[in-house]
Amino acid sequence: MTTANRPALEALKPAAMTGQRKLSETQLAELQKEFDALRDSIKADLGQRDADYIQNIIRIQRFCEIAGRTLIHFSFTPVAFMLGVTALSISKIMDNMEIGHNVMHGQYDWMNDPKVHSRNFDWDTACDNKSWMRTHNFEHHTFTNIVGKDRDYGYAVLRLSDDTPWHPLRSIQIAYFALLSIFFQWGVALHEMETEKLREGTFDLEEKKPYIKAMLKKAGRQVFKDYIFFPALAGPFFWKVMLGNGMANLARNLWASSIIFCGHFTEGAQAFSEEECENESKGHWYYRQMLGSSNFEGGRLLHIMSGHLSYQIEHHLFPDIPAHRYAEMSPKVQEIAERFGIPYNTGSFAKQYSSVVKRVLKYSLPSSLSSKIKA
Amino acid sequence: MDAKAWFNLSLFNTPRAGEYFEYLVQGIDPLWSLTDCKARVVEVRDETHDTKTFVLRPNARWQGFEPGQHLHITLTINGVQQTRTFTISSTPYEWKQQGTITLTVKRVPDGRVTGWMHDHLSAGTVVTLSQASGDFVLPKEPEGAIAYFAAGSGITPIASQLGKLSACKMPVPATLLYFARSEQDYIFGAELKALAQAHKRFTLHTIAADGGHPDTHYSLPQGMISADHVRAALQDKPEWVYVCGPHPFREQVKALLAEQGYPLNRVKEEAFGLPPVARVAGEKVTVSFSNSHTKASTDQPGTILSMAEEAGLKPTSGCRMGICYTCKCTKKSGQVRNVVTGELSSTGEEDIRICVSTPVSNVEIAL
Repeated sequence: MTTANRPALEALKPAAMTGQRKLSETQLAELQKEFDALRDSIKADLGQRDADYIQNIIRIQRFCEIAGRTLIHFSFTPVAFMLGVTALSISKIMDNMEIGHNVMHGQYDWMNDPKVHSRNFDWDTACDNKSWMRTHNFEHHTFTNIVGKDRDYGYAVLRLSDDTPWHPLRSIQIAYFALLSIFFQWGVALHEMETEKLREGTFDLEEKKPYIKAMLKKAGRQVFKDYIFFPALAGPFFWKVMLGNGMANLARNLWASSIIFCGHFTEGAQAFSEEECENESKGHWYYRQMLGSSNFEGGRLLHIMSGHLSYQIEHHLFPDIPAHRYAEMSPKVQEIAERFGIPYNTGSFAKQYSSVVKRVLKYSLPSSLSSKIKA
Repeated sequence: MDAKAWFNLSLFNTPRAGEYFEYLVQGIDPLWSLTDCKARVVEVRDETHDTKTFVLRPNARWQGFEPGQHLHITLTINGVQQTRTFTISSTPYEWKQQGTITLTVKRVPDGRVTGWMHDHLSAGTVVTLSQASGDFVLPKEPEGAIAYFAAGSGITPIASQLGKLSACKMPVPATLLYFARSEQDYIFGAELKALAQAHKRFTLHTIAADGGHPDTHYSLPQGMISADHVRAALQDKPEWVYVCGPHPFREQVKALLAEQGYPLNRVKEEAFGLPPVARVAGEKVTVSFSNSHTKASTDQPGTILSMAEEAGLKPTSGCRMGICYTCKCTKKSGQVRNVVTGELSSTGEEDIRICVSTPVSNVEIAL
């Protein structure tokens, strides 16, 4: 963007800062141009470096999985056992976050390699890959934080804004939050079931049948691997291996859910109504992605282990750009955000996570009470 | 799904267990693979001003070939896998004795892949190969004469066949009519001349489109292909006629052969490239890519692969000529025409190769 445009934008800054979250259509068009240009510049630069990166990550993940399962299998001391659980947890986390999530977004489709193409890829979790692509890539990334349309916003069990009506059962929603974290892979696998429709009485079993079939198949394979096959391989140590695999799954569940909750449920992450987003422009879509997402800061390892969802804002602006590029895009995104007066929500992992917990607690109370709390 | 695929999917999240370990194996030595044939480039030779020969040494997974067969070579060009099809230009003897094969590649103007091969593919690089395939091969026991029509780089499978015939001391008479743009464009020109001198039963005619060298005497008229050429080729009453070159050239040869009363079921041809897709302006058709929630509408449809790419999608693709099935996708509904065979598909759900399919009605593709 040229500096000639700056004065006009400066004029709009105060309005945006007073919390009126409206940019004019011209501004949104300008915003779209900026983000499109940033996206195109990175797209044009994709090449061997990115191919090498993902292949290395996959190599490390495979190594961790084999090491983890071997250690769990042969360990005779708690230390070796815990090392095995750690390695297997790392493998599952890398597989789900930096590899699976990103590959299934089509971030590496340009490599034309069937092994890392979104059409073929499957991951080490109970959720069926095709179901994930429908609910996550399409629903969540298109309708981000639109209450009633983005079912990831609270996962239909958490009330995170006053747009959702209060209900007495919401008062213990911190318990649902804990359960969702513990059993996260199963929550994700069952996500497309839309069980909330059972409550509303609009559930259509016939329509859900293909999904249920695929879901059970995938979940069955995962259960077979972690809780039948590898434990059985250990013979008398069946229960030890089962426990180790279960612990690795738990560690992955807690980690993945925490990362994901920090992406959209933090204090500053905003919700939207369906009316606001009807016939929205691409510029408004970008704008909504920025307001609805939040980052957290950390070292390179934290970024890799979070699948670069620590750059949730960049990820939501550019979901199909290889995630390891978000770090280099971030300064430019922040600069654009500042110029347009759009908040850029970031902080330490601890700060973001505690603000999520606060938010879950705050909205477990009815609006009349929660509005009095300064969370 | 068979039990093995289910088991592999359970343990490795891919139906082929080899794919899971491939990254580890490749990390140790790029020539090692559990899933693919790999080959190392051992030498690159210049043939003509725009043609190079690449000498490859495949690993033990590669199973050999018949002269005239082709293979797919997959190269990683700046992180992107690109697959192209080439015929093997060497003979099985080199393969047996030295463990090498050669691909002879003409630089296609503005060609992404051939250009890269000419500029960057050098000795030491490891590439991925498919097994050889194709039925453009010699009869098991050749009995009658053989006539060859080659145009440009269409000489490569024929050179391989002539190499084999020569090693068998030319068991049957063979005639080659080799068409090229000018005297500078004959690939293997010197080798072919030497072959003609060594074997009385092998006749070579070169026909240059630009009229050839003014001081040279040619036994056949230079310029474009004509009935004279075909009559000369048919002199020995060939048992088989082999044609290799671009699509229009092959059509011309077949038409002239038919004119001379030669039975077309005795003609073998090797396809180079897709026939041009007839882009007839007609009714508007819409291709819906249902998994990507994207649509493409046009009244002049090309292949579904090109439409998907124009719509910004990145489907996997390989040979782009209907051979390798890399681009196979499920068509949910609608009818497509195969641009190679002209065959019309059913209107229901089935797997199609999108690189050779053009929509004739509205089509929904699971892509």
